[in-house]
Amino acid sequence: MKGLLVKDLCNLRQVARQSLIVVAVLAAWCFFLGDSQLFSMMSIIYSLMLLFTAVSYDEMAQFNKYALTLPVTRKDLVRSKYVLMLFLFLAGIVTGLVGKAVLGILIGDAGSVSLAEQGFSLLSVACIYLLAFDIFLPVIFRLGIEKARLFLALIFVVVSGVLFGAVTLVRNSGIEITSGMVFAAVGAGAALTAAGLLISYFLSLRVMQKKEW
Amino acid sequence: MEYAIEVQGLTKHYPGFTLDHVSFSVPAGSIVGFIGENGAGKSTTIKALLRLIRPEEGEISLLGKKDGAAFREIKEQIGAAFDESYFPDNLRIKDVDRIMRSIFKTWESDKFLSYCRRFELPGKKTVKEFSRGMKMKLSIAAALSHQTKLLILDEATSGLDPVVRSEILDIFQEFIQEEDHTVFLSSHITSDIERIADYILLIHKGRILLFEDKDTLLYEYGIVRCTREQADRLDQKQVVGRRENQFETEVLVKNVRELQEKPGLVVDRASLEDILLFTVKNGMEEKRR
Repeated sequence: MKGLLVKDLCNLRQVARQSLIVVAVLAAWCFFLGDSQLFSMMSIIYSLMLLFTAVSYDEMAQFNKYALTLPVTRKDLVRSKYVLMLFLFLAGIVTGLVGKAVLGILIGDAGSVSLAEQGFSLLSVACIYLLAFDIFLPVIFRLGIEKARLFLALIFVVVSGVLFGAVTLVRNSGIEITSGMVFAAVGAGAALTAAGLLISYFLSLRVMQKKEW
Repeated sequence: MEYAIEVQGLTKHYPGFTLDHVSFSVPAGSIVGFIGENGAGKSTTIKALLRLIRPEEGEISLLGKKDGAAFREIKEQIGAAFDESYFPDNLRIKDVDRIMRSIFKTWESDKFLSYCRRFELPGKKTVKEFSRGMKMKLSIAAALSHQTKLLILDEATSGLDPVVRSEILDIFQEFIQEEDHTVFLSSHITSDIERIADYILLIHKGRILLFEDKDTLLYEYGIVRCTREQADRLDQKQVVGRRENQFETEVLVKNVRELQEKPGLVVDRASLEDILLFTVKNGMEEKRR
């Protein structure tokens, strides 16, 4: 699996320069909007999107077919993509937090919202992104990135819609949202994301075990 | 005799095509040329050998290990190359070396880099800047650089110019100098197979039509050029196939030595291409009947 990750990182090295430009533009945009939280959220999604780039390179070269002629198993192919996804997720969070801290100082909104609140807000958004990617990966393994692209936007809209709907429903029902409820909701979201990750991994494995080249 | 590949009753159904109880054994230390027309089942058989598809029936042994037993370890000793390079476009030679070093326990960086130098592959360019010939050479360099004992090649020389093909065939012949090294090479370029193979395996419409020592095949088969009446008088047990035009009838026959002394018959040597064409054509006619 190490070799597969090295291959993905070699591939992603090609988009490193573009990524730096994107992050710089994003930072400038958030600076002018005066919203450092937006930067952290966008950097997580951008980082996760690099997973699609890595999968695209593999598919263009039909690398998976070749990889299976090497001492690599189907399980390795699946596992390496999940490890890459988590790596990109963490890289996105670190970039987001660092960028947010710097922008917070520049904009002067560093102390306007409590750190705990910012952390929860970021965690909840990160959970939504990761949950969406948990759904994306088995679809990508099943259909390939080109066909899967059509479904990706739909999945994102559905996941966001369900969460937004749930929040609206709670608000309209007249229930007062307490900080305890927010804690519980974010905790449940994190647990759901972790469970989703496991289910997603086993689904992808199942798809890959049945796949023929 | 030791076998590098043993296949028994390999069967796989697709809509419109069946790989039908394919059986053959590839002796260790030999080059086996796997020939057949497009769509005959060469790639399907190779994919089954490499577990890229799942056969419905049959048993496969590679390097003495049956049906996937320790397949990951076995793959350490198998080099595979297809009709195109499957390395992602952005990689350079040193990236391929780094990746393979992490994948193979037996990876030989020095050997790989030495093949790359010998093939004059540019170290500073990425795979996407390579010509088709360069990409194939890169695949073959990788296939040979991990203490490989068995090379499985699916149309690896197709689409290359004769100079590059000849260079690659020379490499295969060098590789086979080690007693326990084996090459299983599928191609529809019969001249390549004729040049390097020890054995010929012919597949047609998913069925094995013949497996024969190449020299015996070329020695025992011949083309008789005669009139239609003379062709009809030939022992039909010897006849593999016939082709007629307005001037003469060409008949591919087995045991050609028996006919060489007969007066009035012109008997020529049959090339592998002739054997392929006549055998396949005969197979098609029998199916029509």
